[in-house]
Amino acid sequence: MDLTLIPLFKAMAKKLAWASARQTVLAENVANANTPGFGASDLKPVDFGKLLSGKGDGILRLASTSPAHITTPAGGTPVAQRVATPGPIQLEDQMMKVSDTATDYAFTTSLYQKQIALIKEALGH
Amino acid sequence: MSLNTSMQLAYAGMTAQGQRLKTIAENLANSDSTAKTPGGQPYRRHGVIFHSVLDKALGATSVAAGKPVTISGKFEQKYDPGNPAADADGYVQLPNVNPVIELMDMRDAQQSYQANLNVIDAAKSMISRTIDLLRG
Repeated sequence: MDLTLIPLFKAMAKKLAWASARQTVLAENVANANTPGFGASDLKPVDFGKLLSGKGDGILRLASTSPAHITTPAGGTPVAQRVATPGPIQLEDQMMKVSDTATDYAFTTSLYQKQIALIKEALGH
Repeated sequence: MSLNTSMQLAYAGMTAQGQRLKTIAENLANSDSTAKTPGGQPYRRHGVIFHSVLDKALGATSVAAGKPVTISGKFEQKYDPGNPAADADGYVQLPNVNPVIELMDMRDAQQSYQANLNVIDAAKSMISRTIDLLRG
C-alpha cells in the first residue's frame, strides 16, 4: 500500500518537508544574526488545505501551452519559496519562528501516527 | 536531510560566537597591558568580523568569523613617571579597551550562542519526532 496515494498523507509529508526546510532557513538567519549586511529570509507559507482538497499540489510547474512541451512530472517537493524579510534580524522573532515550526512538525507527526493507527484499526490489527 | 543542515548551521554560528568570545576575553585580559619599551604603544583592542559564506556541501548560507582585526582608537594617557613604559614626559599610554563595551559585547555573543543552541534543540526534537514515527 502506497500511503502517499492518500491525499492526507501526501499533504502531511509535504508539510513535514516544508517545516524542515523552514528550519534550515531560520538556522541560517540565527547563525548570521551578527553578520553585517546579511539579509534575513523566510519561507512563504503554503496552504496545505489546498493540497488536501486537491485544488493544487503546491508544485511550481512550467506552463505548457502546447502538447509538444515537456511537462513537469507529478510529485516532488512543495514550493519552498524563499522571501526576504526586511529589517535587522531580531533573535526573539527568529526564536518564535523556530519554536512555531517545531510545534507544527510535532503536530503533523502526531497526526500522522493517529492516521496510521486508524488504518491499522480498520485492518483489524 | 535538511534538519541536519540546520544543526550544522547552528554549529557554525556557535563556533563563530565562540571565537568572538575568545577575542573579548583577550581584550579584557589585556585591558591594562602597556608597552614594554619606554614611549611604546600599548595593547590595541581586537574585534571579530563575521562573514556569511555559502557552504556548497550544505547548500545553505553559513557563517564564519574572520581573523581578529585591530580596532583603531585613541589611547588614554596616564601620568606615571615611575612606569618602565613611560615616555620622556612621564606619560604612559593605556590600551583602547573599554571594559563596559567588552561586557556588552560579551552579553550579545552569549545571547547569539544561546539562540543557536535553541535551534539545535528544536532540530533535535524534530528528528526524534520523526524517529518516533517508526514506533507507530
